[in-house]
Amino acid sequence: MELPDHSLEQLMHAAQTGDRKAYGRLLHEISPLIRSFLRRRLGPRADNEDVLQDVLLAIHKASHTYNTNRPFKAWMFAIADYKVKDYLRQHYRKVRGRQVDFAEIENFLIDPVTFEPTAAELLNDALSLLPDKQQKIVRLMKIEGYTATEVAQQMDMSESAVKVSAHRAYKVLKKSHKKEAL
Amino acid sequence: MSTEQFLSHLEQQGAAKPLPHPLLVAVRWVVLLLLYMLLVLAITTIRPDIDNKLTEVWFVAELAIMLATSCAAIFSASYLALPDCGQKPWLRFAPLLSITIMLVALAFFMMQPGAMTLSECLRAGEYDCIVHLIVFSIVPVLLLFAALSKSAPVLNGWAGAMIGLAAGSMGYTILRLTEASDDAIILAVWHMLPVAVITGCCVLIGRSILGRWSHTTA
Repeated sequence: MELPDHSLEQLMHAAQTGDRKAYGRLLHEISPLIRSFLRRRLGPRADNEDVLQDVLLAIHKASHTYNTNRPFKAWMFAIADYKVKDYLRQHYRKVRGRQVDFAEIENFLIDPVTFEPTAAELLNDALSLLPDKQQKIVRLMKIEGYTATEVAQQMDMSESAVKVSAHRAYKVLKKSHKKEAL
Repeated sequence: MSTEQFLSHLEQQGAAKPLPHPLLVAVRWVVLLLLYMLLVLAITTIRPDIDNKLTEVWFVAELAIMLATSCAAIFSASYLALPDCGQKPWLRFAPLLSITIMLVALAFFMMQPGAMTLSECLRAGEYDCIVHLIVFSIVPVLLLFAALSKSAPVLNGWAGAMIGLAAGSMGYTILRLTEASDDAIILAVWHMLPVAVITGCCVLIGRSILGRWSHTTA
């Protein structure tokens, strides 16, 4: 059941006269109010619980400035508002600290995003992993379109030796492609 | 630490006893500063023509206005020490009326025929007035900042401004009782301007130190 507003004043009055249970009850009563205030002001953030604890600590530190003649909620939300502004000021100061001048943006990037290799460059890189003989066989068979028999004649090799060599080359290329994909 | 654990920790510490009503706090500060003023007047030389000056209506009114400014600023500062001071927003402008009257009166006297000109005033170079005013104001500034830093102000710049204005106006009053300069332009340049500078400096000090809320409950 929701307590009427004046009970917060009564709880605070009791707390200020040394009743710690009343103080604990008051803190438990106001926590959901402050939590919803923070959600409204800051949105659903991961660090809202940290800000809530900051606000509760500020209320605790300022407890001597509350006089029961004044409305409790106005006092409490004034503190919450102050701490929210404080939090936002620090937050934006941190964000501003991380900002980078556009002219120097390339120095802050890990990878050169403006460079994208072409298909030919990728193929050349992959072929460079192979021994010269295998490179030539793959070029002739897969790029220039010769058959295994024609390649065997050109390179003075048996047809089966060309096929075995080409098979080994494909295996190496497949392996290196898998590694890059990971 | 989870919020539940944190609440238990705060509960164990308990709430602090409430401060007296801000009006009562303001009265205490006013009494303290008036005692300080009497102490300073007792140990410094009062102007030789004080008997004649106290018969002049404008001089007495000037002292009353600056004392009223000081009291109003102290009253305002005592409310600004509370986080919910926004409930009575007019309180931060409490000294505005008296200080405006003072500035209008100074402007009126400066425009009178035969009054000292600005160049004559600057040639007079009464730098000792500035030094004395700062010396007279420094103790009230320190006392009021010490008192206010134990509370929980949220409008720190305003609170600092009120401290500066209260202390500066008090310094001005003491200076008028000790220094024999009565030209309106001299009062504006060598007395009132330092009050404004002290107020401005206190705004900056207030912003940097009053937001800490260093008071902790036992």
